[in-house]
Amino acid sequence: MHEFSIAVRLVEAVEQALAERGIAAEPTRVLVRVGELSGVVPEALELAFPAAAHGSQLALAALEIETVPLVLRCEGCGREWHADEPFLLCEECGGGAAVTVLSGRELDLIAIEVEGEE
Amino acid sequence: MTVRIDLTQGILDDNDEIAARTFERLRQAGVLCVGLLSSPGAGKTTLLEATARAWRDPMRLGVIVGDVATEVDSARLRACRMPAAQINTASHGASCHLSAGPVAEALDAFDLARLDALFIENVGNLICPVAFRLGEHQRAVLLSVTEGPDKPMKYPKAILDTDLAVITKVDLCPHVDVPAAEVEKNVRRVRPHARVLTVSTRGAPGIGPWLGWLDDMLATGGRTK
Repeated sequence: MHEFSIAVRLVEAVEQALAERGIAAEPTRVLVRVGELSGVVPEALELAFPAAAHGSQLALAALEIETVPLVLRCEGCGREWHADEPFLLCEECGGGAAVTVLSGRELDLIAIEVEGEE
Repeated sequence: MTVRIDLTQGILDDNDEIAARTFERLRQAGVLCVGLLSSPGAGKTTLLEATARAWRDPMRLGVIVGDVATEVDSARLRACRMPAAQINTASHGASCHLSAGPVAEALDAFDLARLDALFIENVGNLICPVAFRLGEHQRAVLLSVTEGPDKPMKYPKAILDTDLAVITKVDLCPHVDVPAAEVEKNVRRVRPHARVLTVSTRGAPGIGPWLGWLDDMLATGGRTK
């Protein structure tokens, strides 16, 4: 259950991004991208966020999480698939070819929305 | 009017930047840094005790130990003459894993010029520590046969995001009815080309395979990729 420390880092990252831009207003929305292989459970992050944001500039912000599917590609046969489990083995060609993670590792802050300024 | 500020940054970028500085600081000092991950009780501290006993000079090894509470593990390793720093994670706001900041601060407790290798023994947990890079040149995950054969598939990210799997306590295989080969097979179901070693601190094959891997890593500066 490290989602709370992820939420704390997210709050710090947003505050820093706002400070760098000289924005004092309180953001209304924070958009993040969480991959299925990030090790972060979106529901747990949603639960942790209000507690981490309490008393900060983000206290009133809504967290919006876009999940990114785990997509693997077999470098042997070229097949790409949305995997339930991150097992780096292609069951189509069954061979020992390398399997690459195309997406699913994301754990990114992608946007902040602020009302009224500028 | 809503103003949208687009950003592209990792939520853990701050952690990863500190980790990258630790990685580089240790590389320049010629110190191999190996992170150890496992569930609680897999034998991280016991493997390090045996490593200290086998090393040409245990004072040339160092360890940063992460635990929620107590100095039990660092005391055990100091008793083997290995310089040790303890981080109690409960006092850093997140108890289930180490993060790069406290590890970077703990480096100051060591005379890096005198070390061959620095181990970072994480909090026993196969989930949370995996997400936080600390500056390790290599990461090893320990899997004890007493945990049963399925851990690699249940915690696949711990296999994917480490460089070496060490199957421990293999002297107990007949008693727990778990063949080391079955654990290894499950590691390879997640990652077919994984590097896997088996060790025991109480019987065959000893810890020779682990010491051999450490020697390889010291010879290459911890670079296998």
